[in-house]
Amino acid sequence: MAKFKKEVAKEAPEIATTSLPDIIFMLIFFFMVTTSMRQATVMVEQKMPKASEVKKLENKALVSYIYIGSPQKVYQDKWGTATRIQLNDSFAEIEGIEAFIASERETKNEVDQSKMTTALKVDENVKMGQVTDVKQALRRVSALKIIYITLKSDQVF
Amino acid sequence: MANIKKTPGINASSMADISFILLIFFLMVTTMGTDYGLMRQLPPMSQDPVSDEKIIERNVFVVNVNMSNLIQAEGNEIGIGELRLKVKEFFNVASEGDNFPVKMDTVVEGIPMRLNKTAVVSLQNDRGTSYKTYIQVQNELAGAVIELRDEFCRQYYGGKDFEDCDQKIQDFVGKKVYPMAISEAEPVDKSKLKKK
Repeated sequence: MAKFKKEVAKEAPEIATTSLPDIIFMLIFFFMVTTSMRQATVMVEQKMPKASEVKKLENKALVSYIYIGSPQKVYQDKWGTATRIQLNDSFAEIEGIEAFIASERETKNEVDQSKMTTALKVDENVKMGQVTDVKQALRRVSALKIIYITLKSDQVF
Repeated sequence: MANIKKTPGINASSMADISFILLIFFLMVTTMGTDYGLMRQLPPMSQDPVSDEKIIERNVFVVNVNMSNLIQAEGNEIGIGELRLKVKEFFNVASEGDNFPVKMDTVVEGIPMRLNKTAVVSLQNDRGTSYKTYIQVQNELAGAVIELRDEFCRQYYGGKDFEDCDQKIQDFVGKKVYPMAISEAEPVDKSKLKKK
């Protein structure tokens, strides 16, 4: 009899759920912080060259990106394999750079405009001719601060 | 007596604290994908190009990269590995001779120094040069100047590296002694072709 009674009285302990919201919040914050905010999907091949004497790109709000490379496999049917320039989310010609820089300038306030940097994300197989054209276009609109994005590596060659 | 025994609930009040500590830890430790690169300042588009007469040949170190990615420094073909040493030798304020930039003697805050009057590396590249080689060359040029700055600071400012010196000293060394003087040749006739 005593044995039977004992089994009825046994209760499963409650699982403490008070900390669940905290855990969820932690996860939310974690993903909020780690996801990088990239405005554009890169549609060109991007294999960066290596360099050792690099500086960190600061103040990302003031950086406009120009991507140069040959289109990725999925875009090759439409755009071919020749090197192309990508501004924001679409392929563009050299002439589009001036309008692109002008529109980027408009979004920043006047004080920050002088600190704006153009980041050139160029594939290592691109020929300098195209890069020179882009640089000349940037000079025409006086966007003189540029940074060649590279991989940080001590072994350059 | 054994029949009223209950498993005690786990005390969970400190759970929130633990998760906050974790949250703060990850907040501090994770960084967004950072980009690194070589900073450069383009020259402004000027109407009248600098006349060649003002430039003295010995003050300029010409680096030429051709379409097969071969590097030529002052007329001699060299490997990428030699470039840094050559450029360092050229910029070094201690290099004396007819092949090196004209020097001048000054006294800066009581310390007599012998500096380059003007010294420029002129980088010329072909339209067919690959970007990879171009970046390697730019990297070597930048590396040469950075190494020289460090050496200079160690010699004159108590064994400290450039980055560890005061802002005032960094400004002086970075602008007067070893500026990042890399000039790129104007592309030939590009502006006229583009405007049509």
